[in-house]
Amino acid sequence: MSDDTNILDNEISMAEPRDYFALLKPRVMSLVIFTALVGLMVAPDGINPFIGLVAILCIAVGAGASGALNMWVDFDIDAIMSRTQSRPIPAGKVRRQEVLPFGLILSAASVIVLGIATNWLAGGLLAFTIFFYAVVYSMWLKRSTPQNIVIGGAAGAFPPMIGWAAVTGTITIESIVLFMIIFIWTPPHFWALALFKLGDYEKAGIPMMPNVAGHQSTKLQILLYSIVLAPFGVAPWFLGFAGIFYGVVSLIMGLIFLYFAYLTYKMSDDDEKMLPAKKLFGFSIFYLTVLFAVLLIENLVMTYLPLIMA
Amino acid sequence: MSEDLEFVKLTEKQEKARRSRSVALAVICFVLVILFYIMTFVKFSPDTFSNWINKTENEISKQQ
Repeated sequence: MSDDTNILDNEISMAEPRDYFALLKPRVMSLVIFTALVGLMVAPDGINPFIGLVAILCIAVGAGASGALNMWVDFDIDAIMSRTQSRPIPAGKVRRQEVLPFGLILSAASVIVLGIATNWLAGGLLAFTIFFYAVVYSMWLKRSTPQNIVIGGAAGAFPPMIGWAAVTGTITIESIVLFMIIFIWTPPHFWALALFKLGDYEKAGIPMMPNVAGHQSTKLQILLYSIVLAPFGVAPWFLGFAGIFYGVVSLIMGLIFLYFAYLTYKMSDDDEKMLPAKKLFGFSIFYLTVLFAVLLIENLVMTYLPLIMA
Repeated sequence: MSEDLEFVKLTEKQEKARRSRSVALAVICFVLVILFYIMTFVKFSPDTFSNWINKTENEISKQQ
């Protein structure tokens, strides 16, 4: 028996293409594609549509590769947590030793193609994102500090900045704001999940905020991050790269986010169902999706409506 | 002198999995070839395209 998977070393692989695709964390990848697309579309100057498509593909593959590398690192934790037991390595569908070259080759290919197709700032940012997620977050932060997802959240926040850089070749205040929205959104999102999945994280020995600092401290920090997040959500309107419609929507969504964060804060420590935390977790996904969708739609309308009207 | 060689016999499931992996690799390689081919044109020949368009426009105006 192999020491790290339940596939025999001399056994012929039964892995199917969908197992390798699952290594790319398709759900995370879809969010990365979406936020990178928004960064790319709202950037000034525009980009050749085909090069834009290649850029998005590279960012998606790069994000997927970092997901595969994360699974290579976390094979032991994934086998313990119920949420991750069905992943290809713990499920015995793909050998762990195959996943490292798979992730590395895809990482290198996505960075090189993005660099050639667009510019090397975008390529460099993608390389840094992969390194940050696979090495800084997965190998170091995740197992050593309850601040893991605060700092590690940067990896998930980079895609719109990469999309922006692919078009403009620069990092500007607008792309930093898009980065900050996701960066500040990450702690309340994951800590809400950690509150009601505490047992899973404890069993795997991952130091999440609720099992290190306690429920009360976590709930307070969720509220504080939400207070900071709400104005950041409205910032694109203040800075002038989003219109009034985005401004109104982001303000309302920010207030609802704050309301759910407050309900979570007021939630009793004895509450076993933890409905407020579950609602906050669900709404946080909706919040980010709506904000970026409105930003994208508004930008498309503002760009193409005058052309159609003319 | 004949020698009986032992080959690995794949089960039906293993055959199917191997075939699907091969098909997926072939499709990915084909898509990459097309992708890089078009990307090369878009990246390196916008002038060629615009010169060709200008030339065609000039020829049309001359004929008129």
